[in-house]
Amino acid sequence: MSDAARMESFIGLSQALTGISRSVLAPDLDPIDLKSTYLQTLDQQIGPPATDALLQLYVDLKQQGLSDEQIAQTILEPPLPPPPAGIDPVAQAAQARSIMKMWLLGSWYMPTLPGQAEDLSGTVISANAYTGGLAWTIAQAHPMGYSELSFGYWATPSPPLPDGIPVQQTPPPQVVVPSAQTQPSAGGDHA
Amino acid sequence: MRRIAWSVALALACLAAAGGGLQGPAGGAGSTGASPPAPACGTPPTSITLSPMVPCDVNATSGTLQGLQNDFDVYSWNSFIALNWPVSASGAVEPGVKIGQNGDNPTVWETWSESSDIFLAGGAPPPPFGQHTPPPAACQNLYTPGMRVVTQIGKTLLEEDVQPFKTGPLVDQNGQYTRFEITVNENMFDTIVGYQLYNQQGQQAYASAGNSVQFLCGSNPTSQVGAIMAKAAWKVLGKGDNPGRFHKVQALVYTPDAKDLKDRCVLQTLGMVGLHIAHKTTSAPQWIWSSFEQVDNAPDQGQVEPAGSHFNYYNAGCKGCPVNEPPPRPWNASIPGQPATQVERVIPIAPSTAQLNQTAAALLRSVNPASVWQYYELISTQWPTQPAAASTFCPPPGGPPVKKSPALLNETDGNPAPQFLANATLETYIQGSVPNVSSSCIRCHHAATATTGDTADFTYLLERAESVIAPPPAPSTSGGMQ
Repeated sequence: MSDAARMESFIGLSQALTGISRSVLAPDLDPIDLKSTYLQTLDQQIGPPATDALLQLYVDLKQQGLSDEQIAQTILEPPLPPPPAGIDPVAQAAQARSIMKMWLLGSWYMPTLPGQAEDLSGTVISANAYTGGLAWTIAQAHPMGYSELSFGYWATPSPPLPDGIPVQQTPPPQVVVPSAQTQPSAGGDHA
Repeated sequence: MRRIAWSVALALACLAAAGGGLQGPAGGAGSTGASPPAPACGTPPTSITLSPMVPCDVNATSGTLQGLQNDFDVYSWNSFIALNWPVSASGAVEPGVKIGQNGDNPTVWETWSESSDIFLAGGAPPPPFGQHTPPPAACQNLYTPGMRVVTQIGKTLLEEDVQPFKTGPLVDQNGQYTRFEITVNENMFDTIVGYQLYNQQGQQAYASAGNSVQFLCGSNPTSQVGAIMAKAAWKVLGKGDNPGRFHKVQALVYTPDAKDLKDRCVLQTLGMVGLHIAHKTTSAPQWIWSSFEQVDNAPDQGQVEPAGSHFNYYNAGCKGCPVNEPPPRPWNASIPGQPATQVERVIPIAPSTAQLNQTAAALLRSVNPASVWQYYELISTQWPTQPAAASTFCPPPGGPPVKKSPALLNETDGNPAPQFLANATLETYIQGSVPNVSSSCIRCHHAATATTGDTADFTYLLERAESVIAPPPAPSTSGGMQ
């Protein structure tokens, strides 16, 4: 796989895993270029062969015509049939979760297999990764002391989420107003 | 959240710049003339050109990061050439004389109003554009009208006696402090004066009316120049300096009084070592930031220098010198022979920019092999990859002021490219690549405010406004206190 194809697959895989559009993960004009930082981190942490295997899995699933959601489900919840020799789907699922954490938190967490103690410490990948963690954006917040907005922004409502970050539209919880007969007495028993 | 592609941004910019009105300061050089004025700027060519025409805006021809960076770097060089074009004794551009034709020349940006001519003691109204206030008392015996007076010692020094040396002085190899000055073009001057933003009461009244400080934007389609600031760094030329490699001025160098030392004023020859050009345009409402240096300032970090190399701010023989650190206190420009600052460039000039620098130097040399301008280099151009909407941030010339709104406060810094930009003479001690700590023109100036605490459209100049001195109370006629 060429460098360009690797990067393209990594962006596609990241979009499938996070649900966040490539326009956010890898904008056309990208002076900070976190995608390159993260792919390099992946290579360093799990090794280029394991990275290539994961990227190839994404390419294969994409070629089968699967949607991003189906690809993510297949990778994160591997099917039972025995995998090809040399491939460990459970390990790949753990690696995929580390990729998700990387984009969201700007930190690297070692992939954790079932039964292993989870890596809770993590390592901040870089200063840019810390400020660029997408959890800040999704929460419509920012790292302490680092906001891209203008002075005085705190006096106004947060700006809407950027295009490319899906907003889960959930219906508001239904408020059930108890009838007068079933409503408990607010004041307790009074003589 | 808004994310405007560059092609869309440019189209919107054209529309925004076409607006009109009668209420605010007019744009361009024709604000006071009755006859149709000559365009103050023009659409820049796509290559470096010897022309006195100031680019109104970038001429973006590419859609890629590298391609656009090249477009902005070309814009920067064309701005540098136009703003350093020769002017006559009256301050008029001399279109018949090329830049550097006589080796060196007085320049366009040096005819603009200096910050100390605008933000006066007691909040007084400034003199007309391009005219200067009287020099400090210590300079008056040496002063003749038209003479330059350089007073600023630290980049963030507001005035001689206000919170000096936030980032520390820069001392050259001859032990002399580097001096700084900021000038603004007529377009920006008109906005400051037109809305009385030169004193605190004017700023308060402007803000209380719900207005947001927004300067006019340069526009190629309408030939509107927009607001431009120039920030220069100067060194006193002395031992080891080759005057033929510097743009020079004879200026009165004023050093304010300090502990046990009276203020001083000396006529000296200064060589320009750094020049920032900041320009608000419709395609870059976060402004375009071009940074130039004299080529002898400092080597790149880790670069091995041949024996005998001369730098303005680096001594190859000083192995143990702390690098990019302010000199030890006390800081006092009056004390001679102070330890020189050892400066290294932390982020090297990008190869594509270096290539353009070679092209520009050859072009400038073709005018005159002795041109001083061939000894300047572009460090980089910083620009917003996600430009703000010109329709929100660019008031129409002569139109009403922009009103405060959440959209203004929620505008980002535009994800600047390159992420960091430092001039070795102007951001010496904050070079590097750590967000929020290392120098980024746009990120830093994005936080600028006026004295009201409201955003100030990427300029810290408005913080210099003083309060109007209240007149003494009228004598009581009621017979005094009971």
